[in-house]
Amino acid sequence: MNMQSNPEFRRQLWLQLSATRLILAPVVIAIVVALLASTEPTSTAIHGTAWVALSLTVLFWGTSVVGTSIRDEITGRTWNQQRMSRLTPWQLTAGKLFGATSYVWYVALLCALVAIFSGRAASSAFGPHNTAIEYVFLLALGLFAHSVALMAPLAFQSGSGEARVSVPSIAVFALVFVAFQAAPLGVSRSGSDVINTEWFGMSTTPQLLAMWTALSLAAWGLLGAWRAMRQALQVRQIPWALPAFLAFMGVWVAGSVGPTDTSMLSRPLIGATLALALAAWVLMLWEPQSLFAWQRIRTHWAAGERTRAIAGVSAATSVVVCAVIGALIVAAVNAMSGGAEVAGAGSTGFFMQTAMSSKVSLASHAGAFLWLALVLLRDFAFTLMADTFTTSPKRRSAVILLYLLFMYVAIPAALQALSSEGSEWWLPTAHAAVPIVMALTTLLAMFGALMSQMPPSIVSTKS
Amino acid sequence: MLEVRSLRFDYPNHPALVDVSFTLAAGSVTALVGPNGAGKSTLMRCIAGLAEPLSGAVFLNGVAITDNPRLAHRDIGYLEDEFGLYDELTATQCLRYAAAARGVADADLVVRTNAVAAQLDITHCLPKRVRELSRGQRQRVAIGQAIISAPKLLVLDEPASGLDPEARASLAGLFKRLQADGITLLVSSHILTELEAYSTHMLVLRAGRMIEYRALSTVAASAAPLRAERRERSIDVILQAPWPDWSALILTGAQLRAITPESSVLTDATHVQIEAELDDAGQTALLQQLVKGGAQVLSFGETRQTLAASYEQSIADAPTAPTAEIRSPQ
Repeated sequence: MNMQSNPEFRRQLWLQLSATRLILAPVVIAIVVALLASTEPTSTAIHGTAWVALSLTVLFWGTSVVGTSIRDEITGRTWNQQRMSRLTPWQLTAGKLFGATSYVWYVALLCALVAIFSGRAASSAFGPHNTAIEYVFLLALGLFAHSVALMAPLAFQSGSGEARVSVPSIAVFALVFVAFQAAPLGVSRSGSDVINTEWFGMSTTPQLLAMWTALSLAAWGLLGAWRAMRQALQVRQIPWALPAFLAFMGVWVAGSVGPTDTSMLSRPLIGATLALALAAWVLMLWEPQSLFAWQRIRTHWAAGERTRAIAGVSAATSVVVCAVIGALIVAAVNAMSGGAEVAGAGSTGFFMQTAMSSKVSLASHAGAFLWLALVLLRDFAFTLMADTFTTSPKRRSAVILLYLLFMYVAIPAALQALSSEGSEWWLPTAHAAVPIVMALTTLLAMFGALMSQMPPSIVSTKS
Repeated sequence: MLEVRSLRFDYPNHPALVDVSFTLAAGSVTALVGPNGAGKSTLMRCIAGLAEPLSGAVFLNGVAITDNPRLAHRDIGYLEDEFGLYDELTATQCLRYAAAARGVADADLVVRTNAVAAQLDITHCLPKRVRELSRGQRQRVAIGQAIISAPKLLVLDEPASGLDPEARASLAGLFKRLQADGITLLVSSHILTELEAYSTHMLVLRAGRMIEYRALSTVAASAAPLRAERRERSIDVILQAPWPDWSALILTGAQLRAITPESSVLTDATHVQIEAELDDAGQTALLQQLVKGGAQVLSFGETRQTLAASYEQSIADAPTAPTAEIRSPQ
């Protein structure tokens, strides 16, 4: 990959690396180091300051610069010029990720050099608490943050309104990331290399796990940014990346926090399914599903343009479909193993906890995952109706939130208060399937009726 | 050259384009006119492959822009109504970046940049930062970016917006030169007199529907490369004295009308309008017939109708736009 042949990267260098700026950074850093050296006899203060500056530079400054690079193109009305260029999605992605941050990385390199050399003076390693692993961790985390910053404005952009990576997707991305990072980072920052942790039965250090986590996230971030750029450049693509990322996160987390008495097959499957299900509800809540988009999908599908039709599927839809498929697979695996597989995984998450702690009458816990698949479909059908009958995104979110509270808090509480048997109509039991299927069928029938009222099938764009 | 077929584009609450179909001839300059909200910018964005229509198709030289916008972008230059430039770069850097981004080989960047700068008369601006340039000069740099890869179709949305009269006149000259270079232009503007200076065709949109697309008989149209082609022409003939032999005129399918005096009797008329499908040779032959037949021809030529008059006539003739026929999704 020759970055110099990338016009976008070259343009960013014209903007970022002026002689004045290149000289200014080392001069400022040298002044700060000199001031610190004059006040603090040991190099610990210099090392600590350099490490903090490095972290801030990479994580905050770099992220801000990348986010601004796309926003400025959109507000500066130069974005369409780029969209109409022959630059490939990767050229634009790399040009903005590494070109726009070229000065940031230059400053980061200077900070890293100061941190490393001052750390060496303070101890024999890279620093008192900075190992090579942590430098890799920081750089990977920075790259991930930059990639997300590149994705977000692409999702916000107006125009065709067909952005597939939506704001809620980014929110899910960030939320999962924060939750995921908190545990290993906390241990990592404790400064101890002695405490080991397990990941799918393998013993490792928290620092190493955090580093691989960050590297994995960086890889996913790059993939996400590239795909968001492809979408912005009107390259049609099957929406597999977000479900795949969520499934990956579920599997990754299951490796650390899941129960150890499940098989190597069901544990990642359950982790992926639960992550997808959780994300599905969040996306259903926040991402509108235009009836028009469904009509377009229907038309392209009917015209035999299958790829085009699937490319029009929203992030929420793709995640819901994958979560349902995941739940069905887990149910099937559990059913085939006579319930033993999931029984041990009962403490993995909310649904399994519900299934295990309740007075369920199901002979097999396969029913719990069948229940999960059904309620996901029912709730998705409800969001389609909310999309059709609400007039603003805020009202839509409010309606769906009320629905979720009603379905998952009010009804179970009321049934429980009435009688212990009453809850069987809500919890993952055979009884519960009846109202769920009835509601699902009604909602889908209503949606189908609405679709049939749309104008006659639109003309295929095939020549 | 450019074919738009049954194009439909819907915004969430209303259709922006409804069943728009037309074909632009190569080398033509089409004035896209219509009131605010008529769908001009949306149509241009669909043609430029920046917006995906709900249905219909746009083809540029046989390539479906709607199916493969990135492939079609190679042959399209597009200038938005509110275009942007990289203010911190010099004009040279802007043009070189645009050239490289549009696939001009590195070895050709300098030559191509200088050629376009010369074509647009902005060579003296090249070393300056874009933020230091005047509105007119910035406009030319933006057009330079759009044409630097030698596109076959140039789509310009309100290109003269915000320019002073001198810059507008200069821009009109530039468009004529681009047309002479073989580029097909589609230009939208609210300033009809400006479009008149260089347009050969007119496309009228109202409420998302195409009211009319036709060749113009303006000065620009008659001076255009298309002037020799066979088309419907309106010929004004002014005689020194009435001519009794109009019935002897051999002109298939022609319609003759007395202008002055306002009468249906041609033999009394000294000003007659002839409408017929003619090419240049046919028009010459018509004049020869008149002269040989003894008509004292004082003036003979194609009727020059202003773009404004054509537009007003199109709007007046058009049926009232129907209400939105598609149900709002929300």
